[in-house]
Amino acid sequence: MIEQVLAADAIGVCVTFIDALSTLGDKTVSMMSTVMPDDPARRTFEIIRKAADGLAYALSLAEKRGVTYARLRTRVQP
Amino acid sequence: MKTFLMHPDRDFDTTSVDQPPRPERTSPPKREVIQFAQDIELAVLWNAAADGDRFLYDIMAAVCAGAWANDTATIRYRQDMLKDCLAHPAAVRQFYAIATEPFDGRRNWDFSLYGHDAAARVGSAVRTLQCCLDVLRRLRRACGANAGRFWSPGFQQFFATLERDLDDAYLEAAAADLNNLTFRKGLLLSAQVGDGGKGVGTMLRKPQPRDLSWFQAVLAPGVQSYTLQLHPRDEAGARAFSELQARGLNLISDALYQSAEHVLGFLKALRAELAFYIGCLNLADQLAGIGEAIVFPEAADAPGRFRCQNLRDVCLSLTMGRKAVGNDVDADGKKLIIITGANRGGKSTFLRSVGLAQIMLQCGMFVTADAFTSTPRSGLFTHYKREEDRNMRSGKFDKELVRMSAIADRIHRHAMVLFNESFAATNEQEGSEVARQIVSALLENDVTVFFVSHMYEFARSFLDSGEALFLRADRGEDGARNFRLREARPLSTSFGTDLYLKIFGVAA
Repeated sequence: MIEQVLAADAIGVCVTFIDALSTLGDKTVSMMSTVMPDDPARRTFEIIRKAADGLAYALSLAEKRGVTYARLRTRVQP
Repeated sequence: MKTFLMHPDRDFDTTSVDQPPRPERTSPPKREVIQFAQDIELAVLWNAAADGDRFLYDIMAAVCAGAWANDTATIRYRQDMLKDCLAHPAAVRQFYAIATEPFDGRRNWDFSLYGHDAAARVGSAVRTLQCCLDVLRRLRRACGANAGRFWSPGFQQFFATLERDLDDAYLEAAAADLNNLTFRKGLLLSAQVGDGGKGVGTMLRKPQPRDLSWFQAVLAPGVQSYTLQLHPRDEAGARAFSELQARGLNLISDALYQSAEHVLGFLKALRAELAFYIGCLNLADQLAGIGEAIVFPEAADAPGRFRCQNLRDVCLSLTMGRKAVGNDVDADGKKLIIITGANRGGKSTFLRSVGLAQIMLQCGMFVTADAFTSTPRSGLFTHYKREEDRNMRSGKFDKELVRMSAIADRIHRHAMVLFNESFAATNEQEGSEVARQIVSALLENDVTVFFVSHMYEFARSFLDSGEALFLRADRGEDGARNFRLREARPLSTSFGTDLYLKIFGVAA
């Protein structure tokens, strides 16, 4: 679908987790939202021009919410 | 005297119906049922059962909220009673109509208890008791006429209670006593003269035969008596007189008031408990109207059972107005059921049918299937993907984790959790890892998990586990979907291209 948009020479912004889309062609620009280097649970909310690195830091969020395997297994009440 | 129509050994808890929870103190079970109600569209079920009656709707919601505390004995007890109800719907509706009278808007004045002073309390209590006795008499007669046709232990016990506690002799004696307590012939008090000439030891006396009939009053020579006539405008005298009257009535007003409350409470409980069966009858009628067959599920005592034949989504049937497509699943001994496959292939519908069937089973209701066997679970939880929240307080994925955390706060062992495309709002690899950790932690606590997912990575991580069952929504050769699931390993495609082609009509 994005190829069709590209072919039409239209400008589009696509928010996605599919990294492959960021290298679709010469006309695509890859931007990334970033996290604090020392604490991945904290987001900087800065979007910078950067190649996609395939990391979403999802686990750090899960840790913050207490739903990783180690935390969750002890949270279930008998 | 107890009704015992919902539990073999205790009253049905209707506090959530009697006192609508105020925003600041919502009771936890109520909120729990609301949490997943929208995901499995329980309101459709409640509306069908209520048939426009707000009270029935509230009762059905309360029954669902309390479903998790029912053991298999209670479930079978209710199923037996419901079978009786389905066999004799007219009789049960008649019982309900009688039991509802005191709470009907047109007549509830006759059944209201009020008053601060003794005379008003006695008056309202006596009137309430008289009306209740009338209701009970007719109820007993209606039940007695039908007693032979009902076989379930619940109804038999109920009829026996009515016969035993409300026999004719008792009803007549009670009616006579109440008649005296209306004090139409006046109030007979006795008192002694105490210090300073004050009346002490006021007692209410049973009316003498002489006072009750003018005939005897003329014949029998009475003791010498004095009559004090109050001047109509003598306010102080009237006040003193009513004080005297109150002194006598105080002795009985509390007892009468309490009896009236007790009898009214019995009718109230009866109405609430019968309401569940009336709701089920309404639902059965509606389902019969659209040709949807019902069956009584089997509540298994053994842990970890789940098996269904042609299990259909009752709410989908009700919404569409025709029979829905069903599914066969044998997941006995499996704790994790992963559903993958085609978009719009019936995955979400199946998930909803599982949630609905489980809660209906635990309420003691019937289900729309050919057969259904399951172990009662300690609770039902749903985790569905939601659209990103409007005020953008946090991201979609984080929101999902917060909702998971909220489930973790309330979940107990042996619960059931339904996930619908959860944790997919991040890249697949990390989403799969988060999902795998969450599911593993739940399985370890004997929680049964149904997970609809497109995340191949996630599904694959449980391929070698003996605890998992894989279902797949299929498409036919021509790309048509038949909405049936079958047991099959996950594929790395979910036929999204099919949908894309269908919608956009061009080659990708």
